[in-house]
Amino acid sequence: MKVRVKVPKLGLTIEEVTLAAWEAELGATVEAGAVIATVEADKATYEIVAPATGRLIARAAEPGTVLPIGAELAVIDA
Amino acid sequence: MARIKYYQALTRALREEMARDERVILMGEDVGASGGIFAQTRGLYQQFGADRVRDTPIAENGFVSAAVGAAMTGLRPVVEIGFEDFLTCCMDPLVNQAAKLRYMLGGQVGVPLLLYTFGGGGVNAGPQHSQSFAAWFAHVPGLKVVTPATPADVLGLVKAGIRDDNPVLCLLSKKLIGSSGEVPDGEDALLPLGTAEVKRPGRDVTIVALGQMVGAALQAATLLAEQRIDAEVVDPRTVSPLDVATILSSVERTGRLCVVHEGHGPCGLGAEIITSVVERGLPLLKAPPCRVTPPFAPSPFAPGLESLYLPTPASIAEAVQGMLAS
Amino acid sequence: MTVSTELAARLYRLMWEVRAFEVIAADRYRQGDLPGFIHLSLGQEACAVGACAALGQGDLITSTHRGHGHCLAKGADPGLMMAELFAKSAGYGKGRGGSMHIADVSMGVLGANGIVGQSLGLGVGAALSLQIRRQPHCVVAFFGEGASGTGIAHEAMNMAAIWKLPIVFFCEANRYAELSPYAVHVSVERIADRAAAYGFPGVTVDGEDVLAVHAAVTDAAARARACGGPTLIEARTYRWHGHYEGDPQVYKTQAERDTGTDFDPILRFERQGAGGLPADALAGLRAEAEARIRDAAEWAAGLQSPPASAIGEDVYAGE
Repeated sequence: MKVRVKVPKLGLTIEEVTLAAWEAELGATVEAGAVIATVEADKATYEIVAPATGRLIARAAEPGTVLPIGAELAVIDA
Repeated sequence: MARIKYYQALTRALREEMARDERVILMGEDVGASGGIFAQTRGLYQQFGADRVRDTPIAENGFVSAAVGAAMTGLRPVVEIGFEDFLTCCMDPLVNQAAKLRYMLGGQVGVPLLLYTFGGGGVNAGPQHSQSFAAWFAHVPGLKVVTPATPADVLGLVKAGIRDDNPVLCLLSKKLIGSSGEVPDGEDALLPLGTAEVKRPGRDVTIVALGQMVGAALQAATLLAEQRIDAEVVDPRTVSPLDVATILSSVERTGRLCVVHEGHGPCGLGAEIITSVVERGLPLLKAPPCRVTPPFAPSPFAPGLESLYLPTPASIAEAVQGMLAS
Repeated sequence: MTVSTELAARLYRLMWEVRAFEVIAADRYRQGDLPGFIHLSLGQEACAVGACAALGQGDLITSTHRGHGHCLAKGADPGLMMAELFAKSAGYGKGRGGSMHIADVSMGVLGANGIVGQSLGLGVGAALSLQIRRQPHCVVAFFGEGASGTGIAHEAMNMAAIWKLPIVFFCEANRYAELSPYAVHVSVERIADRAAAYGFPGVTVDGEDVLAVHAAVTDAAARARACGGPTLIEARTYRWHGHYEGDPQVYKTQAERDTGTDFDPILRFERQGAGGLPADALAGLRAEAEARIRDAAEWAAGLQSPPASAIGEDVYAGE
């Protein structure tokens, strides 16, 4: 089953984030709850965690990319 | 020129004015070590210390009253109220104290205080976190009220407001917090209070818009341009004192007036602006003026309802087209 | 309680000034010479005088709608005060404020105030200003038991405690708030007990005893100035007159109306020995005080009313 990881809603007024770094390799197996990426919004950094255990089969953007809230960030094959 | 965000313009204005004048202090809920609910005060506590950047308890009546007392006795406080809706909790120190003390005490004291707050809708915050009270405070002699719509206006009006010797309310639009714009360099990028700006010149109709409605009005002007209607967009930037002269001179050119704001229509700023124009220049008007405001109901939470509730570029363009058709 | 002759004379003369001011104001009010409404502090002279005599020039006070005594005792000029009551241009508020808005900032009087409870919030702000500007002074915020029930009283005491501000909260519990007795407004027998909720000292003093008041405020002010934080002082006193002049006081029993003025801080001070001042000295101080106030009222009555142009003055700075 493919689990799509979206940029989470981070409060009332944050509309976009910048992808800071990937914390998991493409194709790697990740545990549910493991940090797979970090994003920055208004100078605060947030960790994006895997919602399910499985293989990271897609990384939708490169670090430095600006992504709107709700955009697809990654896909995990759970 | 640098390109920064709306909230960063606020932080810069606060930092520059606190560095410039040690009498300037900042008070409010979570303005200190946490850096603010919207990151708007980040770094100030580290730079200026706990004495001058003071976290307050959740007690708007108390700490705004305290800010007034401090302003009477040698400081120039800046007060943050997180949401404009919470101004209802400190009406007394603003309306009965700050606005009147100079007058009542025979000019013995001044209240040099700037209060900023985040208001308006568009972020699904519901009926108690979306309101716009500019008209309430523009009704009170002794207060000044500004409504910045761009980062440059935030920077210039907040800095000028802090240096003003009167109590100034700065009503920011929280929907615009993450918006970006060019701001001038230098420490003296002040904008005079009480001066409107023509944000877009046009010949056929004057659209006066406030706060985040300025952006909606500019988008409406783009839509109208497709219909060969050339709209002028005027942003009062300060609603008390109101720059009637700039609005009137725009209406002299266009002959038509539409006012757009997030506050409610009845007894609102649209009523005041239209009356000010009609009293001075009724013959200028080629059509009855109009207002575009939310309906007379609280701001609903449901995103679908709120998008119907707030004026939009389309609804503004439609109102203007109706005025030109009449 | 021992007291120097100098202080005794000062306390006695000031209490008579407050008494005379209120008596003359009441009389002028009945005659229709004073517009609007006035709230008098007859019976409460020991509170204003005892508290303010414990303060120095750099110390500040915030006051209430019943503030004539506080202003006089902190050094405001009775002529300029009377001028404001008579709504004259020369008054402290240029005839635009009235009895409830008398201030003399040069004497540390930040103003009487028409909104019950704001004296505490404004006082906290003044104390914050002293603290941030590193000034070795304190604030006394006067209020009554009615104000003790407002939200801002709690907010102000909580903030003052958190920030350890140099402030003395001085409650004149005068048995009534507006037109209702103490028990309608206050849930506890002693307002001073509430200080425990904020973690600072609370003391109850006999508000008829000017020396007790003076001693309590002297201690609290010294503590405040030494960065020791706030104190709540509750002075048990009595309001001879109604809430406002003309108040029929239907809420007072006939017996109380007959004997209320037995609560008399001036007589009490005399009975205490008046610091050893001889009778003729006391009589002289009283005459001096009464003459000063009488002259002030007569001077004020003859002054000019504000011109029409005064309506729009001092609304904004720099205009």
